[in-house]
Amino acid sequence: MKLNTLPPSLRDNQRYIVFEIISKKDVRLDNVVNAIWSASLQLFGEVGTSKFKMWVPSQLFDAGRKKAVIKTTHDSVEEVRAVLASIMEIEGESVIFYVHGVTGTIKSAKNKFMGQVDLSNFGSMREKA
Amino acid sequence: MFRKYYDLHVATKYSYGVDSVENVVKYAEKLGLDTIVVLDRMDSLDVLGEIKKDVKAVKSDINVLVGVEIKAENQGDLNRQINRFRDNVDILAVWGGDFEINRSAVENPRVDILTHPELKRKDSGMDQVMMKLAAENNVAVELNFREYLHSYRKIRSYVLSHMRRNVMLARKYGAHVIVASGAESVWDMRAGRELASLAYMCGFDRERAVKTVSEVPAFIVKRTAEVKNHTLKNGVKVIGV
Repeated sequence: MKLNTLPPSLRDNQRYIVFEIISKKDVRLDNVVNAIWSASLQLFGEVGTSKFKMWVPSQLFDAGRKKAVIKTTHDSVEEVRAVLASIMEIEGESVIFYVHGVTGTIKSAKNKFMGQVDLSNFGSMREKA
Repeated sequence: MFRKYYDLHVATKYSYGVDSVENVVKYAEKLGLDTIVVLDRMDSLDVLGEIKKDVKAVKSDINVLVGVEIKAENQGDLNRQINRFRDNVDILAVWGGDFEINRSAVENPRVDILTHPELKRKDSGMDQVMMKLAAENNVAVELNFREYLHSYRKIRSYVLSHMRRNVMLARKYGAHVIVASGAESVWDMRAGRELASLAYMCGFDRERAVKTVSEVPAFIVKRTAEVKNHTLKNGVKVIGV
């Protein structure tokens, strides 16, 4: 038996934080996620971290440009920013987490900060013009 | 409107830092900062000359200012060093932590920033009288990001608790608070909004937290430039940020 999907009025408002990892070496997504979780647990503890509802979608990780997106609730953006700022190293390598911006949808995160422009309705837009 | 972000405290290899001015500026550009202050501890004006030469040689779009961080033994030493460096630097900061030095720094209107007043202390290093003096003399109190970044567990919770107390007093008496990275290496540097998250955790609301890395440092830089260029005379008070 599957849970019913919550109606939109009962769902949390989401925010998508697009960040870049500045480092000398390449980083792997699982190491990034581990670093974020341990930093969050260290800074805010288990109760605090549970409120953030953090999620790092793997399909939005750009290994080449070392960019990723972290999903959180709209009232936890500052706390998650603090978590990202407190990370000093991943796998012994010094890193800086640099937040490019915060968006309300995955689509705008892709368009504005990930350089993935949506051209799916390009034809219809051209016809309208 | 695009905000301009400031980091008024970055150390280089000339004092306790490890990186060159060129490297620091390169990373500041990457992090989208508008102005940084190379703030080093030094004993003589010769070192200051070398730093200025390095800053001049760097080609960059961001503003790079030169400052000094005075680490004094006592009040007399502090006044001597302020007299020696004040007219030669853009920003003059005092290394806080010692009660007597904290007090002397906030009493002196020639000081721009008191860095980490709570450093290695069991209290916050500032009381209500000192915070009132800081507000009157326009001495900004720094929340040092490095101190927070390099501490763990119990020590970090003490650091945050002391910073929170200083923020509470500063808000009560209207003293300026800034957040600066205090970076020893480029890896301690952070973007403006990330630095502001420390102010947010210490009790500022989001808007005011962002001001600690934008409007407030901009006001300090502008005011010191005016005093240096003699467009603002002693006895004239600038009201508001």
